[in-house]
Amino acid sequence: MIINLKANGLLLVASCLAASAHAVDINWSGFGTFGAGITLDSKTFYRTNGIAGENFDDNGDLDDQVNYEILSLIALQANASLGSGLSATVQIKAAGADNWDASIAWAYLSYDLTPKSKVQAGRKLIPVYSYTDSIDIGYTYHWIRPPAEVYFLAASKYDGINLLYQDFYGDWEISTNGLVGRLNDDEDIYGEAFHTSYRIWGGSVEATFDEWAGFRLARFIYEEVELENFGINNFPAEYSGAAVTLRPGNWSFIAEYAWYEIDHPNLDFGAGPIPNGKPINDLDSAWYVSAAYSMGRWTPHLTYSAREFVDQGSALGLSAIDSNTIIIGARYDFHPGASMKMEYHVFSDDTVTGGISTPQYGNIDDGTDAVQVAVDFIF
Amino acid sequence: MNIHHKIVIATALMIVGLSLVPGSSAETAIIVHPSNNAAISPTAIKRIFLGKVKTFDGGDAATPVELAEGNVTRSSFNSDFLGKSNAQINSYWRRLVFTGKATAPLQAASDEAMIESVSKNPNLIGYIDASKASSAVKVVHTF
Repeated sequence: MIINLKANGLLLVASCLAASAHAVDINWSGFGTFGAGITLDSKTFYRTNGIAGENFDDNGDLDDQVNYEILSLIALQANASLGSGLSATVQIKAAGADNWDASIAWAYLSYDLTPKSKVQAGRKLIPVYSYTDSIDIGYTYHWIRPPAEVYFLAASKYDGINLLYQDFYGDWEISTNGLVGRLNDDEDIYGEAFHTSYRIWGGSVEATFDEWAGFRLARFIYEEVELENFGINNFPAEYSGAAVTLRPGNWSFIAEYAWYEIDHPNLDFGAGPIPNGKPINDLDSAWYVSAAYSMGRWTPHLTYSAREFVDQGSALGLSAIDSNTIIIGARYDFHPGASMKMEYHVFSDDTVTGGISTPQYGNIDDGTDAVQVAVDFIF
Repeated sequence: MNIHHKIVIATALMIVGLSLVPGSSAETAIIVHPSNNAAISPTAIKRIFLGKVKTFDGGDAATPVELAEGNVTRSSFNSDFLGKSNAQINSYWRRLVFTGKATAPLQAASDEAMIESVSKNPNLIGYIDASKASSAVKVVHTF
């Protein structure tokens, strides 16, 4: 509904522009990634992009054949300034992981209430994670994709309203974002359309000291969640994230921790729903630490990420998602609007279901190595 | 890059060659409209150019203008004053622009175009090679 309003609004803007050229500025900009990846062990799978955009399907996993699609996407954004602090933004994205079907990734109106506060209405991503806002724009971070073990949340977008406020207190910059909204949509999950709906509210607070140190907290409350693909409905969930960023000299360090509380009988842990799973309220978590060193055009980096979702126990024994990944890579800024990236991933998976080893993503082994290369660009 | 019609169209046909090659020791001047009497500290300038503050001290709207990609003064402003490489500045602004948190800075094609624009609009703040400064603008800081 909101999307339709936005599309009509943009047409209106376009016709206004044709009628009188003085009032409206439209900025066009875009970004994209062309990437390739492969796992190094035969018949293995490696998930690269849990929430690279709004959808993911069974093409979201690398396998032992070179894949040029799943890391690749291109997007075009139009921002129309309507004057007096009002602007309309629409972003259209086509991703290889979605078979290059172009769709509206963002569409919102933005209004400057004061120089320090802004209200936005429309469709946006839920910023649980530090890099959610620019998740599709590879150019804005050092990896090809943020660590998939942390950045995996499928319930990632909403239609609603958010209020941004940002101010300085001495050398501290404080930014807050509060949102309320809902989603009621058919989501393309693993190549099939499933009805997905929830109501959501929550927000984030970010404190930055003199561009040098940053701290972020985010918490979002989901209500009446319905996920058709899991065959479950009407349960609450809470997703939270915390991040610390430090930039001494040419170094940058980032650590991010995300935790999830889902008040529902166990979900599918990769080998089908767990028999006799008890209703739980687990503290499931995922985290990573990453270090990058910038030396001129080169930025080598090292990351360790882990995910641990533990079942409170069933009659059959322990069930847990338990995996970790080491990422060694480098970014090379060969052009003012483009960078090249290469990464080596070492993935280890100790996931068990009812006491039996059940590696994720259809793997039969307890891990794999993967190589990825990509070019990111902005225009 | 974004196309900022107002600035670009107003200045695209202006002088091409004069802004070339200030040495790395050349000073950079931060300039505003002569009528701008706001107290403008280096910290305030930095915050305006990073999109974190959108007004001058007195409350008037402040719009940053940067020199075009490839300009030597742009590189030294980014690295020596803002403490970021050109690539870091590009990606920093991309995050703000694509998430609707700020509007990208306007761009001037040359020092002369910068002076021209700033001298006509009290809301603009820009930077130039200090040796190009003229009485049409007010220098509020040099480094």
